[in-house]
Amino acid sequence: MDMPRVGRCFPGVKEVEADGEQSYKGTMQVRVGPVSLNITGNMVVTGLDKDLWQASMRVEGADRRLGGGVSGEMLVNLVDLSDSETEVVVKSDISFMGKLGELGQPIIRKKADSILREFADNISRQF
Amino acid sequence: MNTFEFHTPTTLDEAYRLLEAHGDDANIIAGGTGLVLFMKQRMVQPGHLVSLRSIPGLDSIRVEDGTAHIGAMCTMHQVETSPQLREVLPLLGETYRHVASVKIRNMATIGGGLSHGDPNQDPPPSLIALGASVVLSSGSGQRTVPLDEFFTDYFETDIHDGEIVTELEVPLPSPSSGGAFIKFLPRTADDYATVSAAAVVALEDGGRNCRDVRVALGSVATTPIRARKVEGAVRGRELTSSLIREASDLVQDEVDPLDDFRGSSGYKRQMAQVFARRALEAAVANISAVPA
Repeated sequence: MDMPRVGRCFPGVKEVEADGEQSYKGTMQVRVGPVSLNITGNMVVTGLDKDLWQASMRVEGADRRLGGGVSGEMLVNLVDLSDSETEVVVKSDISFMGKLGELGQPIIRKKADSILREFADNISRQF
Repeated sequence: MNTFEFHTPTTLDEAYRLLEAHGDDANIIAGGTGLVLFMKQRMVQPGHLVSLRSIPGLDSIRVEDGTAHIGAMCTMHQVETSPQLREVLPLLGETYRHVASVKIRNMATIGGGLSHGDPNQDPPPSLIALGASVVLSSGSGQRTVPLDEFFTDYFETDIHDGEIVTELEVPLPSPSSGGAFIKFLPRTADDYATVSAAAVVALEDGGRNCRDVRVALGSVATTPIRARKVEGAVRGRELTSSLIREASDLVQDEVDPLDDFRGSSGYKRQMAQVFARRALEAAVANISAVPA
């Protein structure tokens, strides 16, 4: 998996680089409502199953200045729909802490949906 | 609250230079009623605040060529009580009169309120229904953005880096038109609305059919919204109570409310329908020159 290339498809991701085997570090700028965060963190690929086209990851990141961050697990599945179509199924269990957490779940959910939509658009243009 | 440097430029050019010099570390401050709350909560921690208070000419109100030009630094109280605006745009005063409390209205500015991007504020639905636009100025020029395209997401707007809201432009409604703003406030008089709605209706010359209509709602999504489906269902037709009721039902497809302590998403969706209907009915009732 070309993680730096995929990672940059996430809106707000500024850089992604390898930090050991199956481990990557990067920064992401994200704005949720009034809060603008500059999150630095890492992502570790905890499982890759090519037969099932499935990858699992653990992500952790924080904005030291504002005091907010995220941590959690993600499971990504690629599902063949046809010769020209692949569905990307992302299941995530993410905790939002500090200033991000204070905004409350309804806002975070809507923001996560819009980030994923933009990610899907970006990735379909890339590949 | 974090420490910050407070700048008081006396010209817009000076303000643009400060914004450019300090980039993301700078915030513009007008009345401060929104920003200071965020700073106290440490949601926003700017190193530099650029105040617009000492820049002359940003708090004038003038009506010319069928448009009201309202300086962004006008306080909400100024707009609420302006005799000039009351005569040509009564809906503006009526709406700003409902914002929070008089202490807030004496401090909060109209440009600051719009820049804040809070989807629960009272003025945006009325301003969208009136077809208002904001003028955004920067070192590289000016642009005008219709208010129904200005709010992009929760507390986010179309203001680019280095831009300042300098004016609000509101076209004057035609003679055979009426407007209304209503909101549901189940808690306290200075609370944000559970749902708010505004409508402006214009009749065809000498007729009873709806020539133009704009309906907008607040607190029903991550931004104030314009209810285009509702508008489409009544435009060009006679505004009977059954048509208004039928059209208002369509608002349910246009809203996407957030659950909060003022009500669940489902409840607000239903209230949006009720308030869109009542706003339209009130706007029709406010038409001053209905032909017999």
